[in-house]
Amino acid sequence: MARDFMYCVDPDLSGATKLVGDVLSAQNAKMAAGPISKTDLWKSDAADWRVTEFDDTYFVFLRSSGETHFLNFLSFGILTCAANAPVSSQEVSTKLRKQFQLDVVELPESLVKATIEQLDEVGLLYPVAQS
Amino acid sequence: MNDAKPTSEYSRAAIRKALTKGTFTLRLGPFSHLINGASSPLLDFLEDTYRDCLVELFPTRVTEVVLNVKAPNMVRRFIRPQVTPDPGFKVPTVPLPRSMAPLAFEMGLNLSVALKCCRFVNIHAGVVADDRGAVVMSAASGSGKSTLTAALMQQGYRLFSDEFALIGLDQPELHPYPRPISLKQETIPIVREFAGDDWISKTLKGTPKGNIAYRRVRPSDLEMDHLPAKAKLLLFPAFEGGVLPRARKLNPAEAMMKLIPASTNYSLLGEPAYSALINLVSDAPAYEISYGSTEQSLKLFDQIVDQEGL
Repeated sequence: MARDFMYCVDPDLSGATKLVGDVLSAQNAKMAAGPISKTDLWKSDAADWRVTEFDDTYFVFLRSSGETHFLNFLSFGILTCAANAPVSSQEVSTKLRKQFQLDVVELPESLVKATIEQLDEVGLLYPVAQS
Repeated sequence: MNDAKPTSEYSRAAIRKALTKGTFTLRLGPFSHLINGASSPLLDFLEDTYRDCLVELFPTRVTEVVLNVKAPNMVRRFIRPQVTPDPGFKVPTVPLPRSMAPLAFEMGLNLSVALKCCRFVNIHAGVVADDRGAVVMSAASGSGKSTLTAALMQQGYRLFSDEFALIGLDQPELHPYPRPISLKQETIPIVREFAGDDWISKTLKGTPKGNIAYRRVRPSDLEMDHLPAKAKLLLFPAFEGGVLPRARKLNPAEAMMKLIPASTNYSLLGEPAYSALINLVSDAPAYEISYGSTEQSLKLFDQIVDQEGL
């Protein structure tokens, strides 16, 4: 995918070159337009990522953006929940509570929603229209 | 066809002519560098600091790095002469007095390799190796990386690079690129003391980064500059005056988080770079070390090597 880069260059490499801006093409810009509701459905495309696990943390390389993401168990759990079929934040919350043996206080839906928003922002999840 | 000979075997006039024509070709590790820009300070530097490196006066192979060390404009060729490195793409560089042409040359090579060479994942790091593998030392400037690299050379390690860890995209191996080690300010006398006068270049005084000198590469390092090595240890050194020496083992995820921003072309390479770094952090133990002197850093290094059986 075509990408635009903006580099901040340190001429003698006293610090490595830093990527300070990374503008993705419009193709990857499928983001939710506003606040997330309970009924919004979310999907992730497992064929688009490559995952490496290190001690309950996950590096996810997203092929379409060329970005590497570092996720904890919750973020990665959400990603995998949405990998097979579109799911709502409510469904994800229920499923993850069961999977990690947590209750509503330990894993409130608001936390799941906030994480979904972050995953949406970086392109790991995208909203799908309800049929 | 291999017509390359050490710089010291060419006459000064022949080198000057090739530099003027832009056909002077420096071969180091995996790269051929085509250099343009004859000035006496650069000639002196090449004859001294690069005396054992293989060069050709006319290129016989594809050159990956093309560097022009030139005046920023016509006026500065003649009045208070200045030079600036031109690696063939636009970069913000400050013109330097012509006497600092060696610094412009070294900066230009660094920029070219960092931003243009995509056959390897480039990490800003010092690398040395013995027959058991390579030690990658990644850190920002001022962390003692160069001093530690020079000190490990003294202990018998061969120099891969003071500036770049070049990681193969197909094989998770490090490739040597042995250029002179850049020494700044107070590290110059430290390295001079253990390496000896003959191995240290003339000091460039009053550069934008203070006084700078270079630790010359040994012929033995150059002879082996085509032999890659697997990583045996990843180090993230940090020099802090007066600090108690300490070492902390990092998990692979922490090492990965440190290596990605230290790479100059990770984002450009994408998935192959991801694979190469994942292999690197999975195969080699990683440590963060803090120290207040070269002796302390060497002691910590020896402890880690013993502990890990390296």
